[in-house]
Amino acid sequence: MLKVISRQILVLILSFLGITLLFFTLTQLTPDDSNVVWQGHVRSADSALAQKAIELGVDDSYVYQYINYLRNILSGDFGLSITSNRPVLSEFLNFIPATLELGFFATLIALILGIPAGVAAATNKNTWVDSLIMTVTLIGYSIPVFWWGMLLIFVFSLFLDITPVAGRISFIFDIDKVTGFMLVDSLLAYPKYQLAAFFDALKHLILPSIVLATLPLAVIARMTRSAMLEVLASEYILTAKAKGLSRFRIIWVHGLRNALIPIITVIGLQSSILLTGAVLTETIFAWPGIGKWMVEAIYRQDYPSIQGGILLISSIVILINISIDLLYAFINPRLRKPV
Amino acid sequence: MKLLHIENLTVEFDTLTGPVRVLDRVSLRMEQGEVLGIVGESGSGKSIFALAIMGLLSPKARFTADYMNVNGQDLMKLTKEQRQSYLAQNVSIIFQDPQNSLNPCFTIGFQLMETLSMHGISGRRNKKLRAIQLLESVGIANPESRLKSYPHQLSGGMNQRIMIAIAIAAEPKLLIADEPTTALDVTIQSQILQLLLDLNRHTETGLMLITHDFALLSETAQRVCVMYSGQIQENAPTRRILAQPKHPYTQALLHSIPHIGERHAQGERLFSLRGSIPPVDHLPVGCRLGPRCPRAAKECVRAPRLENIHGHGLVRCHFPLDGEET
Repeated sequence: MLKVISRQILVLILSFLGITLLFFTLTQLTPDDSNVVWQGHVRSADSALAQKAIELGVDDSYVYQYINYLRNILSGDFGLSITSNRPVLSEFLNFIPATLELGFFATLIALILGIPAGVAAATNKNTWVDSLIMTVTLIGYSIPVFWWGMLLIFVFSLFLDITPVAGRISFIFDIDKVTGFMLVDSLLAYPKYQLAAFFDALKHLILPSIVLATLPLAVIARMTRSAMLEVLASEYILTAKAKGLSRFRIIWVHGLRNALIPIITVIGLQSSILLTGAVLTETIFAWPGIGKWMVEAIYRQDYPSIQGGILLISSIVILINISIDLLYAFINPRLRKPV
Repeated sequence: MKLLHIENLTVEFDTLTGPVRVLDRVSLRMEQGEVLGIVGESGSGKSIFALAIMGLLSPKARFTADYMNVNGQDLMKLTKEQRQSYLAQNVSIIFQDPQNSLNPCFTIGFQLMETLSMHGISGRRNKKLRAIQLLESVGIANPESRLKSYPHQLSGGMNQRIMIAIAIAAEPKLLIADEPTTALDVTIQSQILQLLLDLNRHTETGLMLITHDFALLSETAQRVCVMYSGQIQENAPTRRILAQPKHPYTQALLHSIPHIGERHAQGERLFSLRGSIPPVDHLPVGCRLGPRCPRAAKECVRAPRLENIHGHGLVRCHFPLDGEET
């Protein structure tokens, strides 16, 4: 186990260095003169430009700049946002809870519906249940996120009027920001609104979570089906049947436990899809998370925010994948001890 | 009371080109505590036969029998659920590849104790004690620490011993061993076989030994049943078959065993039948061995019936051997 963990840590360091190098190079390649972007206009006095250039160190050698960049990142300094003039890191920490909240619920929906759907399809292979699940997941797999989101808003918010159109909470509630997670903060405001604020926040979560969960759900359901089919054809399932175990135990204990190994891998890969999906979903639902923040930063050519934001998002994806790999070693006994 | 009494067991699979019959009216009896050998080459239907008895065939298989009596209970009269639970109480099976027959994600202890709870042993302590006892009885050293092992941490021979422990945990009346030693080293093979025979002797468990290796049966089985192409070709006591096989296929199987000390000229071919077993969807007309049989005659385009030869057993051949030709 120690060997597995130390290998994962090495992977973490290497991928982090790779990403910083990539972003550093990319920013050097942007067509805009970073100087001009900082000043906000072109016809600035030359002396002001030169002054800023010295301050930023843009005329130093690239190697020196990169080392400086790394040193700043490691000390938690991602620079100042050009638009808000606040540190990028604190901006990021300000927006990330909303995205995590959304991502958490989307993952929950994808797992709670996706795995049973895949198991049901596998155990009813070649029946109408299987065809129905496969058809629905194929649609979920190919539906464009922005269109799907608007469709849901149109039906459930505008036509049926059962869910709010956008945002995280209705304006009538004045929730103090404590953790940044709306569900938690609304509960913390308990005596003020009873539970009304909590349920309002929950209602706001429904549609965006569904939209964000759709693609991972389809992928997980399809993966579960094929993993389950493979496992159910194996000899140890025959042994389990010969033992006289119940069908439920054979499928959900002996079968799923083995099928989970490939499923876990897919779930890990979904985390990056979830974060890219968040960009679209948050834009549609005016959800104040990092996706929306990133899009706005791009519109405003806020390079420090883009650079720092993408670096932090990538780090999250790497961290999720590494924890998935550790979980994988935990769930697959064959990886734990060398044979 | 017979331990096993099967009449006309037939298994068919539906394929795109129509139904295919993989087992053709197989009838078989076994006494309590008997060791029966079933022998045949790959594809002869012997594994399908074992799975059919255990009710483990895929749902696509069509399964019919006039009579299928296991330890005094006709299985054909039970519902599917009743049959599975009755079989789990009375019949156990072990498979060819022990590495794949154990669930890789669970410990030996989990898999063993799971079977114990199916058979009325409750309480963690009781189950653990019984599990250790069982592992000891199949000759596993350090049983207590082995309970925490996963199948991939143990050797093939160890895993097969554990499979046997799981099988006898149910205290079955009949143990079906489907090629139990094929995947193992030769030295381990005899140990496992000895273990199975000891169990048979000490617990009066009937043993159905399915194999393609006649040599293995010659010293173990009281009776041998030769299968070819989904049919029983010869069914007789082992010593009679060894002394004088009546069916050309049985003779060919016996001849194909290379003997130690037997001298072969350089370049001489070892004995084998021409060709290979016919695919089940493309069976020859008449006797199924016909095209490969060294003694085939005109008569053989008519399918022979399984007939009783006095003083020997059942043989399916128009021209049974009588010892003069060999």
